[in-house]
Amino acid sequence: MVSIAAKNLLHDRTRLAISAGGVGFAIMLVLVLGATYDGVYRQAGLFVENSGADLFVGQAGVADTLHSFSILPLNLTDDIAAIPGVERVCAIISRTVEAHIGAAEHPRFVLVGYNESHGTAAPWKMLEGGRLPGPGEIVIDQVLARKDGVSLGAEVTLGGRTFRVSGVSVETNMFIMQYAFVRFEEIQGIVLPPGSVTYFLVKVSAGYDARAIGDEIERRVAGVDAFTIGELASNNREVISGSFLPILLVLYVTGFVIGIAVIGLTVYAATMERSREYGILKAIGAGNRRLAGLVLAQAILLAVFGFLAGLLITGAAGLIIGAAVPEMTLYFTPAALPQVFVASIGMSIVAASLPLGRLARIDPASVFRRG
Amino acid sequence: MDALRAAGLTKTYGEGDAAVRAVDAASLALRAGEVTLIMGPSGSGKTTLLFLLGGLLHPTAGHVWVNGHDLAGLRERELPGIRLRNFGFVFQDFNLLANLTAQENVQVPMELASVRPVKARERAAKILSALGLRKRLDFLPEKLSGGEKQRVSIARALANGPRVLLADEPTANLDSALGKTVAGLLRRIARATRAAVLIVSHDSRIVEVADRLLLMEDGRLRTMP
Repeated sequence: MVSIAAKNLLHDRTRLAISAGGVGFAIMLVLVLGATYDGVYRQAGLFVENSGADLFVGQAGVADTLHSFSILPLNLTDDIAAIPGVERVCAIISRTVEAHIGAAEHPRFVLVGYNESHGTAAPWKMLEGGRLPGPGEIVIDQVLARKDGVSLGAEVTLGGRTFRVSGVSVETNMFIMQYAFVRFEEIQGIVLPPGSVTYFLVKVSAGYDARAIGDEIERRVAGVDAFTIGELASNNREVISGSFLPILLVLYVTGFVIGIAVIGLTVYAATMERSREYGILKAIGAGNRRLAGLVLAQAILLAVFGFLAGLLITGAAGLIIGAAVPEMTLYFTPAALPQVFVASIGMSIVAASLPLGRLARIDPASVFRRG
Repeated sequence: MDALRAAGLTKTYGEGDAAVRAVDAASLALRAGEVTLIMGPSGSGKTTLLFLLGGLLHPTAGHVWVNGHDLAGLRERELPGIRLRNFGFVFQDFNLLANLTAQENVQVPMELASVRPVKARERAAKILSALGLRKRLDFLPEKLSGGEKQRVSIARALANGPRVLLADEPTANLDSALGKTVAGLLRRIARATRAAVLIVSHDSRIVEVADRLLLMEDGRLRTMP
């Protein structure tokens, strides 16, 4: 019976190609939306996770590094360092700034003043150049470099100071904003008032619990909140979930509805077009359940063709998106493909139910009537 | 031995003054190995009678017994299985599935009856070869002549070894010579397989293949001498 389903589908190859392409586009939409969300979600925590610290200490009330702004006096360093279990404390600056590249480009990015003594909050993965910028040097994200045509050796001006690009980092793109890194002392007093910092990054001594030390810091130092790396990365990702997820869910559902509509329309048209043949099968002895199985087999085959087409279209879309919108980081999780495949089979099951009512009403005796 | 028996079969369409009795208390028996021919003018009710006998239509009154089942007492969803295992249908318009080859068309009833595909394929080839279509196994219906299509249709009807073969105007779309060939084939099949063959037809040229001739007029069935 599956061969009948396959032959009915393959009989009109143009229609099959159009239908599989339509399903493929719906699947591409779902895959790309998912990969965009997963990409942004993953990136949201990477800076914190790769900072080299165990705790982030920020201004009280600041719960994430994405849209909250923390400012603390530098002289809290000693207070925090004095707490038992704190191995070291590094102050960093993290601030959204506007830079000048050449005469025309004024990119905005998150400038991080990393701690050069321990490499804390420095870039962690490089495309080219040195990882730790030295005096007068800056490391910028690869998307920023591509968007603004900046290469190694180019000059970037910030608050009246000029930096030479010494490296291009990866995984430092946050979709709407990218990171750049300079030495901490080079931007002290430039992007924040003198004597101010954004966060203190704390390394906890071996054998101490980071959360317990964080609690102790909050108890002893007024006006600060301390977060473990896991907590802060999670807070960052919740910001992404909260702002992106509802939009993505709507688009996800749209993708599925399009897929169901395309499969449903194709299977419905194919079923109605062949209603006489279904009548023949009924007359011969096929029950409604067998015919429903036949329609379902067609829908599933179409979903499989559509899924394969979707993979090809997604591959092409990934290349186009990467070239046209470099800040859009697509991250395909290992679970994404099986999930979307199962979902496409689900789409086909829903779509196959559309013509079942008509199928059940086909009169097997009708095939005896002429022509 | 009776392969099928019908008693008091009646089919009425509409109600009250508008009621039309398409089949009126028809009774008959189809015997294994025999060819029964029902003739009659258009609108006489012979095709409706064929529907009733083949379990394609529920009678208003009366009974049809085949293989121990009274079709009139069965539920709608039970009838396909009864048709599949007891009946073979030969249609005037052949009604082959256009996207399947001759061999695949013959396999369909067997696959519906859960015969393993390999076995169904072998049996389909054997039946088609016996009907002279050995070289047409992989042909799509559109590549076959009218006579060949009707032989594939007959092969499909024989696929599950039916007790009763019901043929609706099987020669109507064939020329005289081919019509006679197909009618002769149905007679040989009745003899060889012990299936009861019922032919409903206008075609008086095939009278000679019939063991019994019945006439249908205004929904009533009469035996011809």
